[in-house]
Amino acid sequence: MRTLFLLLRNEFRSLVNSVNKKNTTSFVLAAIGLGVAALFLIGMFAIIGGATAYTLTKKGLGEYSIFVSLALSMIIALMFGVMNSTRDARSSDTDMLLAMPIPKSSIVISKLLGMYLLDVLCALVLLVPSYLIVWFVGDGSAAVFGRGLFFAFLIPALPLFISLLVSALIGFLKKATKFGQLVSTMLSFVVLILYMIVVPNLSSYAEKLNISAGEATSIMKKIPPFYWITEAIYSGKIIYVVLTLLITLIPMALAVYIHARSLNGVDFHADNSKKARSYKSASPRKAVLSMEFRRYFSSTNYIMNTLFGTLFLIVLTGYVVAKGGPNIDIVEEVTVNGEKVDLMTKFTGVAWAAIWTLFINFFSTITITTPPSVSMEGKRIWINKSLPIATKDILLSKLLVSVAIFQPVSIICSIVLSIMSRSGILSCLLLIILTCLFHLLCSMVGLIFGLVFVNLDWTNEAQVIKKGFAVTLTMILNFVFAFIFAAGLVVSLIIGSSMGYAVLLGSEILLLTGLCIGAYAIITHYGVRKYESLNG
Amino acid sequence: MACPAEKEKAGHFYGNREYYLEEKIMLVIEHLTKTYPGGKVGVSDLSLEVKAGEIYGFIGHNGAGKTTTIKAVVGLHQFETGRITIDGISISDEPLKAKSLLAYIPDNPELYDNLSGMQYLNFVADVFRVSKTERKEKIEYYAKELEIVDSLNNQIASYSHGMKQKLAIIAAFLHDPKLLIMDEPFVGLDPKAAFTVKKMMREFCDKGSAIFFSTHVLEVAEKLCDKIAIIKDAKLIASGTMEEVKGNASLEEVFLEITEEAK
Repeated sequence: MRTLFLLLRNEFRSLVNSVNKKNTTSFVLAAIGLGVAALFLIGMFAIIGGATAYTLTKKGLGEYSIFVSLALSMIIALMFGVMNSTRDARSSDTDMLLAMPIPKSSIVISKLLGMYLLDVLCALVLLVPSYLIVWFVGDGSAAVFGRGLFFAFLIPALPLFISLLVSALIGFLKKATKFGQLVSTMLSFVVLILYMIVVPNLSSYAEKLNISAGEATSIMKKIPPFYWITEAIYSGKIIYVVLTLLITLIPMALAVYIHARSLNGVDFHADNSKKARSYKSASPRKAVLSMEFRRYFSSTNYIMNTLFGTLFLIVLTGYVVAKGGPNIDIVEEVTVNGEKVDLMTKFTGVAWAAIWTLFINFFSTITITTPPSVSMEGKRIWINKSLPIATKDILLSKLLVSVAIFQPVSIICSIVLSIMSRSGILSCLLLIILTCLFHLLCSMVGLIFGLVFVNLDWTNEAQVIKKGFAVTLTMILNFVFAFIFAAGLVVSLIIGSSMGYAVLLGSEILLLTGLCIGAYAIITHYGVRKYESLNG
Repeated sequence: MACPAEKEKAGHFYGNREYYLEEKIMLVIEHLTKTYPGGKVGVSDLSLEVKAGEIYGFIGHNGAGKTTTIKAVVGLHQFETGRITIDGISISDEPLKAKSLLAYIPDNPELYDNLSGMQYLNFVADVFRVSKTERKEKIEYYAKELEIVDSLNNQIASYSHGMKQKLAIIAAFLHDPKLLIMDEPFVGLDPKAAFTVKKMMREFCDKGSAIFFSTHVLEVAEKLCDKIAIIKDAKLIASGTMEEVKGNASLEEVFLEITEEAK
């Protein structure tokens, strides 16, 4: 018990220290800061959960309100669990702990307890307001509240089990297959996309406030486990209580088992000794470039943080194609002097080019791979620096990765969007040039910031990919660029003539070209000097 | 023991080794001074020469300035004053040309964890433009010598420190460098691998190349080196042939005596 307490204290200290890495403030202050942030989040969730529950309970759908809160808490817990599962289950301190006179059960429990308590907190925040509202506003009772509170402590076992299962699967894929890293990244994307589809749909169920009790029951019965838990809490029928205990306690036992297995370090390592070795050769420049690509595609964190813009662009293009053209409701609903005006007929080709440029530029700002690219070299920077590779080539290869990730997709989507909006070849060309120049500029700005705020002394790549100052600063500056263009677009819309759009796009091309030349000069002069002065 | 491809290349050299060794100076360090931000002096006014065919040992306490000197030689550290040339080419003025003549093995080889050993070797071979046939021959030969053939297709992340060291050693020998710079090359190697690496080093220098390496293991330095330099508190306090530096005493005794005297 004492060792368990010590391990839990260490977990807590690590959590607090993770927000106070540079020891700029005291431990107590950091803990208070973390607590305030947690309270803010809890308050936000509680307000959303409470408001939904209140509206539903007033309509006589108390049981349904518990069902919605329950489903939301499970999905949020599952989402965080699966996102966490992309990391290795066996953390770096595990070997050290296993070598100490600490019972393995204490290590397993201390590791699981952190995740479990977070899920319990999430469940309580969403469920307790529902229970209270159903009790005091609806037809609930103290018994419903008591049962609800009891099950709130068991419910997190289910998402915890699923996320550990996914973690084990990802771990297996990473080690046992050649494309394990890619498969695990794709899996993470699938989970993310499922989340993006499921959560809004779930909210839309809650928004259907005028549904009857029968309709609510029919919706609930579509997802049996959630229905059983809701019934166990609401009606307390023994069959549902038993079912709930089964679907929570069994996964909890399995979760402990899976985690204990991962601590034992089950080796899924494939035997690669018989595999044929490839001696394929390439030019030095190509070798450096392919190394940059490998670095990018071998990091799930890196991909997950920089591929959303490309995905959003594909989704937008797909949406426009599915609709048969850019008949976006918001455009059709614009009214001038009290009369509804069909702006679709008034938009010229060049206007569409301006609008698509705006969209693509915003997606572009979140698809920049350059800000963490220098820091990502970390302690391995000695390799590039001691080899006979021109520093300029190293920096340009980082730039090329960013360009290659976004621009081919951007060009294809620009062509498709231009065809769907019938904007003509010239407008299409304008769109391609503008978006490519904009992305190039954003990538170069990212590279410059990456060099200025370089951090080679990291222990976890997330420190430079997610929390790096260069990443934040690049995104802010690139958003400013995109907003300046958006402001220009609004002015052009007010002027409403093709000339306005043409002037806007033309001046943007000139401005972007000038900025790109300036940024390139900074990279090839200051950037090269800065890179050469770096010590890993 | 020498790799077949190397034997062929070095054929012209075996006949007149003494003449070649007299003439060629592979590394020249002249009045090297490096100060770190904050004012700490890494190396102060250090000068030495490494001739072709020589194994030159560089010894000193922890923090004496060995790694700083080595990093300056391979172009990892910039320095304020002094000049470093590799086979007559300045590392500051023509870094790419100079780097193409040398190979470097760091004390703690941090390699690309997400690559396989084979992918890493191919990357280095590509950078040095080693032909497909030559790289195949050398990789197979050195991997067999250092007993990591079966691990070459595995990810570097799964390698032990010693295996990473072996991989870095193979990568260093791939392009027949004229100068090999090694920082504590025997740390993490098993006794058999350490013995093989020592043999590889001797053969490498017998073919006309040179090695400049740092070590803490004085017995190794004593047995392996033709010349030796001792550094203390950023300054060179002794250098020359093994006989010149230690005379009839053991290197350990001389090292302790000299470093105490220099206090």
